[in-house]
Amino acid sequence: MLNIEFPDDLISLSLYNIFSSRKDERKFIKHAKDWNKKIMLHIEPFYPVTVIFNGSNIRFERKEYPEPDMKVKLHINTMLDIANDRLNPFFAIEEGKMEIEGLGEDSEKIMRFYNIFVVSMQMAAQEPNVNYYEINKNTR
Amino acid sequence: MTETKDRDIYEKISKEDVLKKLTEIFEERNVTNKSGDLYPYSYDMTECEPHMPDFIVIPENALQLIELVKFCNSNLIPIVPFISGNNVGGLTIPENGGILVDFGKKMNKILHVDDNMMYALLEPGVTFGQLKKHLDENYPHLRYSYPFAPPYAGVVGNVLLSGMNNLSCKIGSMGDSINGLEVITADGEIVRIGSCFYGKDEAAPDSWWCRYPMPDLMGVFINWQGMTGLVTKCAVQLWPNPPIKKTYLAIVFGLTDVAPVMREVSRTDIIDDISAVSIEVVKMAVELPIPTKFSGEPDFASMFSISAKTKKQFKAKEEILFNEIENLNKQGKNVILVNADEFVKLFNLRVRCYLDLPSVVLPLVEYSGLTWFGSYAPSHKLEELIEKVNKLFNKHNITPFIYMKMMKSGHYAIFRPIMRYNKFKEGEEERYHMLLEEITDVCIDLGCIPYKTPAWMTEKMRKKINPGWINLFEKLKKFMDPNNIFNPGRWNT
Repeated sequence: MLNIEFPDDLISLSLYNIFSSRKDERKFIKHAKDWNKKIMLHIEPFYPVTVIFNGSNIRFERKEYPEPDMKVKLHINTMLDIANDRLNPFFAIEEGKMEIEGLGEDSEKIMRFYNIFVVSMQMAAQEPNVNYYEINKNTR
Repeated sequence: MTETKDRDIYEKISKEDVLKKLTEIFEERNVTNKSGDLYPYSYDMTECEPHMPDFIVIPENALQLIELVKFCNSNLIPIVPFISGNNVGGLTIPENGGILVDFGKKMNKILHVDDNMMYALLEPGVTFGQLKKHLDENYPHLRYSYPFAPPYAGVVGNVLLSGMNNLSCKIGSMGDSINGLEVITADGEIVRIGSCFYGKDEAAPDSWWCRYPMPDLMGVFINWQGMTGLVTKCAVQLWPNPPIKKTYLAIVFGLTDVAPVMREVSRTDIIDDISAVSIEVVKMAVELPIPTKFSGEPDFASMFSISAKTKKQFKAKEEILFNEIENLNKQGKNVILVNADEFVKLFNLRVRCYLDLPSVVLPLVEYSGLTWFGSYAPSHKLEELIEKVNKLFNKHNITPFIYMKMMKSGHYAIFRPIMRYNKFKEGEEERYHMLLEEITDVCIDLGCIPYKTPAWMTEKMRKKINPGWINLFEKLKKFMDPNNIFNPGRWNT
């Protein structure tokens, strides 16, 4: 079981939506739990967001950490192309449409990043999170 | 709960006798004067002062209504038309008590859909959801246009009050899409307006196809908020339903830059509907009741709907849109265009409430209170309106909620600042009303014309409107409703 903090900015809200649809999924938990990494994601033309994986918790910060474990930069349209299978993520890196820093030769890091971010995006695009209908009762 | 205002509308006839007469006309099961039944009709979501009706009647046909109008006219009893109570202007709150006519329960039939001339003949109680279902099941090649309103809101009320729709950039105001009306006037006469005007008896179902070229008497009923007669039938235009449809989402950075983006895109003449909302509104849809806009986030999200009969036609329209966005970006705007369907899947499906109309638009129903300044606006003043109104929202520490539309290829715009609030929290109504009053003053000064207007707002307008218009308006009202029985109090009558 993972705890994903509910954020309040557009990009983090989108990441929250993408991750939360898989938060009870065994494979996702296996990759995200105890990763203990800070991943800075900059979806252009928006702003950088740092996703902090800490034990069973995932939270978002609307800023760039000084030394994140990974930096990923891509345009919103590239993100949509990858999510909708119009662009292979590896070709996106090769073509300079997705810039990644800090990947190094760490194959586990590559695999976790791919599973947590890319696969989740693709799953959200194909099987969107339909658990969205509950109205906030506190506003009544 | 409020008491009936101090006035003597039962001077000529006692309430007991009124009840007796109403029971005679509508039968006992369709009449009530029990306070528990009356209460839900005494208020709406707005901060407009509640007031109880004295009776509710549920009509089944026009003959009953003719009798009612004659009775009320000779006894000076107010009649207030009601469909579903979803207007945001206190328009069906019976300010002076009287008889509230609930059309929504039994006069809610789709009488005829004319496939050849593309219109639907409706009774007043037909809802958007009902019409959509009927068309989808029986006439999938035809479509109606829907506002940001729930499926249970009334079609006829919306057209008669010149409401919005999701083909606005193509067809303009809903008031323009009325082909014909059947109305009961103060003397109890049935009047048919439009191409259905031939003949003494009932009009043929296929005769409601056009509004012109006779003198346009429809103007005596459209936007009059039920002050000139009781509409019992209304023919509304339908449109071809092309197989290809797509909505693009334009994410616009820069507070006022959304205005030229909407203007220029509307002039391409290829878009069915253009609407825009403050970015805070997008967040409202995903369970953030009091969202904040952060640095780096865009200011507005604008939706452009395109439809086409063929892929080739669709591609051509897309190309025109892409070129226009590219031009705007070259001119220094910062606009990102994404496929709305794809975006909402990643962002949150709840945002689909803006796309799949009619729908319960979550930000509009999430709170117990809702009020707005909904207006037709000069599109060249949108920048100034956005800037000034945004400042007012911030001054009152209330989350900005601006909704805009471009109408009829850009001939004019809709500018609608909206406020949601907790109706039952001490002081909230007053706080929000103060902001609404300030917004109203600024917008009217800039030439905006509010629609579905509450009486306190028309009072402000009256001070600005030229005396000739006011005089003619008063003369017409007096002529149409000499005893002021039709929805009295609206437009300060």
